[in-house]
Amino acid sequence: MTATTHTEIYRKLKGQLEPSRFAALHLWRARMMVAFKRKLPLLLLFVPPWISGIVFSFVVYSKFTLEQGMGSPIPGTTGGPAGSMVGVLAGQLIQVHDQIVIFTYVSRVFALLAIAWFGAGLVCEDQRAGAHLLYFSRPLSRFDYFLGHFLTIFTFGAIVTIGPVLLIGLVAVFSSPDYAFLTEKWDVLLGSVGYAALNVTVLSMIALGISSLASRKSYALAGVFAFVLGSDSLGAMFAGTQGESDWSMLGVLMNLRRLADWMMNANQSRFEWNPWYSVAILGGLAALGGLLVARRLRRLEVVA
Amino acid sequence: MSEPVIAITDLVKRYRTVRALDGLSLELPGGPVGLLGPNGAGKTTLIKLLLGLIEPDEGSARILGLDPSNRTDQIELRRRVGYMPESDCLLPGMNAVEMVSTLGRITGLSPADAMTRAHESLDYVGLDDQRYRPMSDYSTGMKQRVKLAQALAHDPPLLLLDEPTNGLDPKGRRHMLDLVHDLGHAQQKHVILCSHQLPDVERTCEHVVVLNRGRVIESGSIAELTSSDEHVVRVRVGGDESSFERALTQAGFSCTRTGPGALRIAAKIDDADSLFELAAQSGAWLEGVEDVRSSLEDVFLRLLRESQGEAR
Repeated sequence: MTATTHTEIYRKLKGQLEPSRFAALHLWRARMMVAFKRKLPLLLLFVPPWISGIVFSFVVYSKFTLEQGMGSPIPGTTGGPAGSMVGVLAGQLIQVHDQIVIFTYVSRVFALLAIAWFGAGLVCEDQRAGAHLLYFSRPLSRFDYFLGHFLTIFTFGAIVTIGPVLLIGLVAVFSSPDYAFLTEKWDVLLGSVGYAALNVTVLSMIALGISSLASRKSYALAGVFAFVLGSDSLGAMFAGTQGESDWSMLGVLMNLRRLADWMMNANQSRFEWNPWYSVAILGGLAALGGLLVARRLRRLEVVA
Repeated sequence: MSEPVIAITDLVKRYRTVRALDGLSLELPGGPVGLLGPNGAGKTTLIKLLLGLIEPDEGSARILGLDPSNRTDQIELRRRVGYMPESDCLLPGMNAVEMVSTLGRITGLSPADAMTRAHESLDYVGLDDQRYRPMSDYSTGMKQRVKLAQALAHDPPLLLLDEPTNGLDPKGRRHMLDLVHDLGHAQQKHVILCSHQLPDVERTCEHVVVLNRGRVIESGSIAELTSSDEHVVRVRVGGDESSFERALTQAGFSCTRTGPGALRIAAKIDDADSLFELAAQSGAWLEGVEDVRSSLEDVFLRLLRESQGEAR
């Protein structure tokens, strides 16, 4: 072949191929790079949860600092000034605990929005663009492919849930006298982060499952909202008409709330069913999502 | 003789009741090979097998010394094969550089090598500044070139090119064929070219494999397959044509005039010396002697007819 420019010459690879152990991470990195190209969705989906996180953090901070000495002891606390201070601190800790629980309720919606937007198109758009032909002709297993996509959605979900929760928790820890929040309420911190991770995992699996059924992103997006919000509306409707709160178990977000109450020892839980039912329901949904993805990937790999 | 690049013995692959590969046996040497066959002949299944995407039900195969029925070898195989799919494919939201480097990373290139190879491969296929544009805006020709570039990113020894000239204009097609020819000859890659464009195969490949109903119906060098059994040569004559024709008839050669100064003579190309002598004796001279060959298309159609006749 005659080169038309000095560049049109075939060059041999000078380096060498390494064992591709982290193929899923390369896929994750590439998908993140693509997502970060479009700034408007990032702005719309990331800014509100972080603003909420900052507002909640400020409230938490104010509970510990601005209200020092102004708060009244919790009822039944006795023992003079020292007892009064202990009582004030105990009240503050409870109030901060409640703030974190309220934030986790709010964060379910942020997580749903972010996961639906960034996750709904992953599998179906790959299939539409023929990307699976390129991926599966590489040393990329179906599990690597799934893991790469799951990590992508999980990251976005984590940015809007785990991140702000950690911020609020850290503010609570550092604002409380002698790190009292860490020593007294460490289980709340652990529960809130664990719940955020669970929330993101369940919604990510649902989004991936629906994405693997849809032919384009818009359908998958509508499917995710329809499934999650539809199940909640149905649960709320039955609970309202039957006068039995257990019907709320039909809703994905309601089950997530039940788990939030359970994992963070929330004081005023609206739902009273056994939380293990919610674990089973959400676990089943996540497993179903995984099965749908596995089935689709098997077909995509063989069609490739 | 060196070990064959692909050695397949009695390979069977079933999809429920359909036998996509039906006792396929094949040994392919290195270099550029054309893979021909009508729809449903088993080409796609063979490609999947070569990529390590499926395991055979029966029989054995060695591709570049690897066994595609072994999971470890399947993954290794994909590192040694560059695949250019037939249909449009891109990684959503990426430009050409990002796509080729990402696929290079997944294949096992280091970050620096992946980026270098992305640019080198895109240079090679002739994609200039457009490599930074979103691929959704690319023309068919540009997409084809990027597909070839990604197949070359990890510098694999074996290339599977599925209809690389699909949808290209004549200029783009010529360019693509030049690249394929260069890869198969100057770069000494083992190229398997799947194409319905028989002239493309004829131009770029030395060997051809014809599949039908999951079996190999012919395999051999294009030169052998297209050589005519009738042994006819075409000559261009200058000088006294009529006396050359008479001399040919007297010497026992049958000939026909096909135009001014052009004759078809029933003779082997090895008889060229005799023809030159006869021309000189009859006051004529030969400006050219060439073997008349069947086109690959003629051979392909004949083989299919024969194969279908046997099946009946």
